[in-house]
Amino acid sequence: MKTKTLTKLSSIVATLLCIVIGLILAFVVLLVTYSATKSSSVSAITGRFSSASWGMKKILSLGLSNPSSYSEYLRRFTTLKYNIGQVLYYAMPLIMTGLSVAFAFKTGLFNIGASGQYLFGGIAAIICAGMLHLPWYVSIFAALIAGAIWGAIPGLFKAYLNINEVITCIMTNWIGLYLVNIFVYNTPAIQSLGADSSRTLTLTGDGIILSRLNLASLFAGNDNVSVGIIVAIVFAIVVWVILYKTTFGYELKACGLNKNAAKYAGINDKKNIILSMVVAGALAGVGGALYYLTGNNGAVYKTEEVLQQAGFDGISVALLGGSNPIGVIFSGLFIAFLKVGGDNLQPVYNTEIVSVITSTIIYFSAFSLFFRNLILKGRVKRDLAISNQSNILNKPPVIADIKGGEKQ
Amino acid sequence: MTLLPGLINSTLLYALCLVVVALGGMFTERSGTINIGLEGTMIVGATFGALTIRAFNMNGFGEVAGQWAVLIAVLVAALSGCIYSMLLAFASIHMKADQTIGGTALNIFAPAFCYLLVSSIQSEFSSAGSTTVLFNYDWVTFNLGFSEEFRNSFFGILLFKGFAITTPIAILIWIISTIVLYKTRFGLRLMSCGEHPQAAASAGIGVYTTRYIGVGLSGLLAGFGGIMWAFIATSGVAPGAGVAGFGFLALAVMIFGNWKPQNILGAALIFAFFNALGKYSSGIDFLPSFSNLAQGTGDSIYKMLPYIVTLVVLAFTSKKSRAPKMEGIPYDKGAR
Repeated sequence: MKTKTLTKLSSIVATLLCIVIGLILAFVVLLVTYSATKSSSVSAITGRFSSASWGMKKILSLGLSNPSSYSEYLRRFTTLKYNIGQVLYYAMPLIMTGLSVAFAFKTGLFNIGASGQYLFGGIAAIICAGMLHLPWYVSIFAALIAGAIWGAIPGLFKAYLNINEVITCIMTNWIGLYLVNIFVYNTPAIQSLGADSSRTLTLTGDGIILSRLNLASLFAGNDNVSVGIIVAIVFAIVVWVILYKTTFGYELKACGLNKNAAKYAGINDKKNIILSMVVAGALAGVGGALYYLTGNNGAVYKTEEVLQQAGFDGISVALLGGSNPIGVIFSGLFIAFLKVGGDNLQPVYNTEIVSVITSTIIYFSAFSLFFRNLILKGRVKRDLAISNQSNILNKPPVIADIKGGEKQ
Repeated sequence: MTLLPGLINSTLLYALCLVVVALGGMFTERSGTINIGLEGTMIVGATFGALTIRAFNMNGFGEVAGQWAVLIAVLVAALSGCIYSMLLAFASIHMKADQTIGGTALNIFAPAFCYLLVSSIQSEFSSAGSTTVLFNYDWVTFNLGFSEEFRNSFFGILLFKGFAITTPIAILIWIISTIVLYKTRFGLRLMSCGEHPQAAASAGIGVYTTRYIGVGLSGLLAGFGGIMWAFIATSGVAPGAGVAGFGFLALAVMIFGNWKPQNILGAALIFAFFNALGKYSSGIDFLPSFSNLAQGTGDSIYKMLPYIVTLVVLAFTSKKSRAPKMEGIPYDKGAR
């Protein structure tokens, strides 16, 4: 038991270590990309080093820096509240796509198709909300179904035709994008919602867009905050219950750890592969619905030729969260936090610095096994020797997992 | 008379570019490492190659030496890709890290890093600080001394439209890769490391070294593919926009081609043909134009076509598909 808690503790320390390394590299990038002309817009900056530390403070304090007086303090407190609301708003679709990727990881599948499923869910929600004027929870349910259908395709191909899910997911991403575009071009009702030549549309109306629950007053009037973030967290908890407290979840994980062993134990691996992709698709679909149903500037659907970035962000969220649904809530919030911080870097720095931080953290989190072993060195060996005396078949507590982070 | 040669030309160029990157993916997966970071590696290659061409144009070397300068730029692109892929090799081979995580990190890092690099370099030269590296200089195009008139004729378009020095090299790469994989000691050793590394090690093969070479080759080819893509698709490299999912497509082509060079060529040709068909569809009379539907519909349908065709072909051919047995699993000396 003691070893288990120690392992958990050390994995948290390892994650923090990764974040620190990421931030250090970001500071170096801030130092290198300093430009005198751009930073002249901020009076506090006097040189390369002060500029970099200004940027770092902006990222870490959600756009604030040291207040000089009490009134200044109050003003900045308002900005802080607004920015926290912004973090929640950004986090909502990220948590959902992160959950989608994490859920598939648990079955040993790599859902790189969250982008297409997200879009399908989004358009289903737009149809329900914009054309049929249904309440937001019905729209979310429709998005869930649409995402599930689009996610089922890679699952079916994998289970019955032995086609690698990575390739089907890439194909369904693009097919989904063009299908949605064709649908939008040919539906006059969608264009009339906010028709212009580029076919953008905006959703409005109480009850149709996500309920605000008077949350705006908590976040200094930021009306991007809605019931959506609560929906996302509830979904995360539901996914956690499914994975760790039900037979279905146990079977899914068994398939992910060793397909042949699962089959031998009488688990229907084909059914589990399909169901896993269906659930993953549904989660990504809800993410799309939450994003478009927010109803402010975020709810504009534009026909584009580029895949939705939210689906790919989901991969980083899932990896950072160790493929654990509860971990995904925090990693989603963390990435959203960095994004808001990055927005505040402008115009002195480019927002791309956030991607540098994220990728560095992800890269080093791949080493987390190594870090953990380093931290645990000696300690585990001794504990293991004791536990081995009682049970010779006891597994070592730190094992390399082939896909998707740590074991529970 | 420009339709047919244009169609064939577009198919060949696009297919060759896919083939090169997919071959890179093949080498690394055959050695047992999954490289999902091909997309990011391509961006690095394209950016460094384009920056080299720009530098040669500024110091006048390009005007004097022409194709030699382009060749050096292509080498720089390939080498930068190779060095970049070493990040993945180190994480996945020595640190035994999850290869999907490493590859994803590479994909996120590359566009951000290249964007920052380009914007800070270019702001030195112009106040606008453009984030696109342009290389549409006269000396970059490869004419082989043929006249303007010939280049607009049937065979001229067939062979030389969008032709750059990368095209013949890509053909060479395919031939060499096929021979290396099947006919040389290195190729057979590489495959054994992806199938059963412990057995390979017991036969005296250095699994770590072989896997490093495998990943390095994938970086080399992806970097080359990056600059090739830039020559075909655009007149400049915008790192922020990346290579439009091309690296992922190459990954799909590799799986479609069943990790075999011949099949990869076939798969790339099928995909590229339908892609080219979409591009030229408006000029082909017997193809439906979907003009009774809203504007943009037909265009989208043809763009969707290569992806659908790939899925359908896969559905019929994939029963026998088999990935290298130990791909994605870190080599553990102690495991049996």
